[in-house]
Amino acid sequence: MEKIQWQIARVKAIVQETPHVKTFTLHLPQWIPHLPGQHYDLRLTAEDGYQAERSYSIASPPEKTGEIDLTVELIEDGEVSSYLHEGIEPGDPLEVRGPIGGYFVWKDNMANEPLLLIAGGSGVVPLMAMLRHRAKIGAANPTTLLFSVRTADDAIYRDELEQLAKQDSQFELILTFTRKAPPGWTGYQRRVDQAMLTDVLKRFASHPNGFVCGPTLLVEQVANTLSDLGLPSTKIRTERFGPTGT
Amino acid sequence: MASFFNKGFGRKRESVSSERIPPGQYETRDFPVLTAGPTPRIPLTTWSFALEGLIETPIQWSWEQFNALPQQSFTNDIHCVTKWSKLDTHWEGVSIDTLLEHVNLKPEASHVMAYSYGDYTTNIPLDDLRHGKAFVGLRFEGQPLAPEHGGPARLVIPHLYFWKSAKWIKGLRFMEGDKPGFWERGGYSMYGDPWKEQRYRSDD
Amino acid sequence: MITDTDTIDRALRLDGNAVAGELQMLLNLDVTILQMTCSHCHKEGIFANLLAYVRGPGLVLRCPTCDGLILQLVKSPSGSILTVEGLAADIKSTIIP
Repeated sequence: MEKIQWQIARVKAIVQETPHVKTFTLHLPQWIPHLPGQHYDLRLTAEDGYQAERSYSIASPPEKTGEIDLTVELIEDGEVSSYLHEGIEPGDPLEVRGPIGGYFVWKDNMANEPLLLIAGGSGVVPLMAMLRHRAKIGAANPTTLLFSVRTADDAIYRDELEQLAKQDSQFELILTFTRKAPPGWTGYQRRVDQAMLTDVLKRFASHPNGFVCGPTLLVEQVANTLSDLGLPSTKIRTERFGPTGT
Repeated sequence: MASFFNKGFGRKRESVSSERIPPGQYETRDFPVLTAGPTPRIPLTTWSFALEGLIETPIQWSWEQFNALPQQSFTNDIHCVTKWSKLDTHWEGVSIDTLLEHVNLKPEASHVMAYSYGDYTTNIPLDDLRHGKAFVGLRFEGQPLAPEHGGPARLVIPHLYFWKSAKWIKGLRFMEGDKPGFWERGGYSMYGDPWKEQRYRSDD
Repeated sequence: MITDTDTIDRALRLDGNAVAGELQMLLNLDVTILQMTCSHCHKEGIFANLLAYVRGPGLVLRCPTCDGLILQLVKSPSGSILTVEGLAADIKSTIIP
């Protein structure tokens, strides 16, 4: 394993993904290839030495060398996310360390096994890295992303995901809108529940590798329900995000 | 000062009245929820509070009995080791002096281990609990103390860092000599005087 | 039922992934993939699945089965202090200066 240390990255580009979400492309002096699902820690330092640190998942696949994309949701009263959203411009330095975590990762030896991704809100970020990497390596394993968002405005990467679903017959995108669905929407309009997960699991001929990421409440409920529905706990990997921007 | 810093990044500082804010602290109007574990749910029918250890006859109160004890109002500034201070907090509760009227302490009792529902503990010198310096808070700002802030009852010792003010208090154990509690074992100060910035064991 | 408190409580709970960076810096080890046994309830599990309470004077990791204390990490200006009393019977506590 590579030794990680704090390093000063340069912000190369910033993309506004949704009204509350931005993606920061960081150029790293010491780039280490990551596994999709891993994260970086980001540390802000004030002039008086005060520091605040948060973890952000990598959105880019390891094929994008020398740099990483971190997608950051603006959290109300979040001192780090609000500084990133309001105080950071291309060219600015940011201190990061990573890549971190070898558990919540999609590995190449899983590329022949079915894959079930379940995200709530910005929990889609590490799953996006998995989908991007999966596309890059040309994997053809049956894959479903169940993505729970409040409104259409909150569906991060929606265009890219829909494009991916169009091009890849083995990849299915299922959106559910928990607060307000777009006009004419005929799909799910509720929180992820047992009936929804039953429907999703039916699509798989064998137990998929499950990755669940999002707010703590969603992750725990989904993981418990998947387990109740018979998916072995060794097949369910979870990552809890902190409070979301309500 | 930091060799690397992010321009324009810093804590939002509110009006600082420096005489009342210990060094290294900043004032907040919020009441941040800090937690080292799940919030215990304590039905009032089974809640109890005990004094035990080096006393002649240990004593235990039910919720009803405890609330029947003489209560007082307290207005205090509180200082959290994570660097926020909150001024003029209003509490109602039972002074530790009132509780101590019910027991005879053995002469060797010098320190107290406060223990809580859940596995939280914190150590305090006995003298820092007496003479009007500490109380068990039952109401905060006119309302029953919320569970996330330590309700139904929390120890409040305003002159020490707030981790000494154990949430979900269950009892006080009187000891001969000092022993570390939950955060003290993990590296925090045995005493925790905010005016001396005694945050870590290395500051003792 | 006080739903608000439950929501706050659960929202403040993260998992072992959240402290992996700090521990990797200290130990030069990816802790998330560690198999471990809780010394309180003896249930086996993966480090990444521990419950993490990160809003406090330090980081606290607890067993997802019994809520028992597994690990405490306190960062001070003079170094990090790691206490791992709850990890396994034969590991007591390690202090890293």
